[in-house]
Amino acid sequence: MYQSIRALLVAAILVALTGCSSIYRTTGWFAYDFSESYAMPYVMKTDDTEMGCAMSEAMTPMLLSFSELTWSPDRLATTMYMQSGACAEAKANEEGLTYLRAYKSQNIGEAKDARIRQKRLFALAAQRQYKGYKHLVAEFGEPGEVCPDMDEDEEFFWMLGLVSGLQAVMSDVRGQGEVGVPKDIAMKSVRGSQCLDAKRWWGVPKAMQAAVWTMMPDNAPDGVDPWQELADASEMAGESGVRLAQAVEVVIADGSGNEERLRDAIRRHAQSVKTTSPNSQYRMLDIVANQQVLAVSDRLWTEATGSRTPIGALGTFWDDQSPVEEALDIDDLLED
Amino acid sequence: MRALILFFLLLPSLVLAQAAQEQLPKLSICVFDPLGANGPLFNTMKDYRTVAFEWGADVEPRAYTDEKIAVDDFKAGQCDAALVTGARARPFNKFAATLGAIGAIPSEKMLRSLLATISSKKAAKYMREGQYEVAGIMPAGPIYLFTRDRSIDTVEKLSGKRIATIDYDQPSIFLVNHIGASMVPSNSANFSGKFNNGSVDVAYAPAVAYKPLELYKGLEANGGILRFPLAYMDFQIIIRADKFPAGFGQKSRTSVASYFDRVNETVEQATQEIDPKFWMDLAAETKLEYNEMLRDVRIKLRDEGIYNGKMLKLMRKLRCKANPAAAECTEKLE
Repeated sequence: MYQSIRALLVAAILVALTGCSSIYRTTGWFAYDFSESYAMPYVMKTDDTEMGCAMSEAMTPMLLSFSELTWSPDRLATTMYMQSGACAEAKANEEGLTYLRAYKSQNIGEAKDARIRQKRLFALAAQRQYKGYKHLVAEFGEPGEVCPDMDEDEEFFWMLGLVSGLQAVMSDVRGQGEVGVPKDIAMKSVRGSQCLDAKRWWGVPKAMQAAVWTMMPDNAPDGVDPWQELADASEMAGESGVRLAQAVEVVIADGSGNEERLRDAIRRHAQSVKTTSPNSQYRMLDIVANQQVLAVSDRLWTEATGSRTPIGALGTFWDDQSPVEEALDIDDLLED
Repeated sequence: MRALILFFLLLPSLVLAQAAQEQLPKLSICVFDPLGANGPLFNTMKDYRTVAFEWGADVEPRAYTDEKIAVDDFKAGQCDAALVTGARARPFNKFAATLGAIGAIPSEKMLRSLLATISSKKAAKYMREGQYEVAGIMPAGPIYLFTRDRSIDTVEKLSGKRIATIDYDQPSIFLVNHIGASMVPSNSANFSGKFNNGSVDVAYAPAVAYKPLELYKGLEANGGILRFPLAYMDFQIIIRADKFPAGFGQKSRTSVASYFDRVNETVEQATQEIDPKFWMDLAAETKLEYNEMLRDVRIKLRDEGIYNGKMLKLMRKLRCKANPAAAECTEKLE
């Protein structure tokens, strides 16, 4: 009883002397520490992307509002913005499917409108992903030249920030350049990713490097096949249970216009999901990667059939040949 | 009898219903985009598809990251249309491809006027050559000369220098030989690496390439960019006219010409992103020297059958409209 009265008195004196700001500031420190040490690792272990989206979209402004009183929690902000960017991207992909369906049904007004909605959502995604990248720069400095000295935790944030940078450029292109994300951060992010060990980080650095080589083959070292490198990175991703590199391979194969290569990458991803469980510490990242692959598969299915990938059909395609079972002669079978 | 009357009453709605469900013939366009299906040109073609539908054609875009394969597939009939750079579009329509003639367009204002002119109905006869028709031209901004050494600013000083040269573009090869420079065969995917690592002294590129390809790396020590449009880069939509409904090409050209401001905004933004310290302004007499040399090259390329004389004449007239006192306006060599 006396203790609580004493605590109340101390709080009252604090408030009287410094105003509410000291309490808010302390709350901010607490919020940052709690979010980085507990909330974020917890979310990474979960498997509900909708909840992850709701959390990152709702909590980012709340958490970052403390930066008015304390410092800017850059590592946390990188993660939150990257995640909320992925949420906007998912909605944009959904509008892409609406566009295809509307076009197929000759509802051109709706198709045009869906494209506009899609571009707006890509612009939103680009804005968030670019913010994520900018927080990375604030925390570690501009990537692409020298590698910062990092422990494993910091490497994780470094990698997420670089992925966010690369995604920001791609989303901005898809959103018709409304945000104006500087395009050179794509190459800077790829170079920055080479500071990381490819195996430890699930093949992501290898996939990012190979992705650039597919577009600029002359930059690849002699004798290196960029597509094989991408496939190798995907294999690393499969073994680790965090399949971000597989999503990179699928997105790059999709861009290449080579549908056979794309189908092969999707098939290998689907097979990997069946055979290797997600890494329990980073389940959310694995699911986000899976959703990106599913989004590409959905587009292919919708283009061909008018509706998205059927349940359980990721890795299969509408025109796959089913194994032909030789029909037996019923009369032969029934004959005594 | 009642059934017959009912049939005739319902006939118009039956016909309408059938027309609404009628599928347009499936056509395809081979789209060259360095970023493939993730790139800006492919994205533009997704929007184009919806307007093309209203002109009676269902044009499905197909992404190509290799422009040569896109052109080869188009020639082989794998696609019914193609979106490629003006340089690659030369075999299909020399008149329109001459729009990218070296040194022929001094300003964005003239380009706008030229595009409006050749996209108009009156110019339709020039946009078709045999089975091919130009169904739209999209500008991509001026091409500038990037040099690793700012002291290389005159035509004479370019002599003997190594220039990253697009190896399928005859005018580029001709120009490099004409000024006595050394040609280093390159393409759009590898010229930046050569420029940035110093294997060439000079490269040429549009402003939109500066940031994504980090051309500032090659400029950093002592480089510069000549503020002088060597040519205007453009992308062209070429269609196999007999596969498309009558009048499609004209509708498409008019519509694509209206993209000008949007594209120009992107080019402007990319130009603003160039660090001002890299710009090199040419003295008036050096500019004159460049203009005269480039005019000589254009005339030679016309005589060799690479450039179209009518387009060169049209561009000369537009230049003279803006600057009637220029010597070329009395000489009338183009």
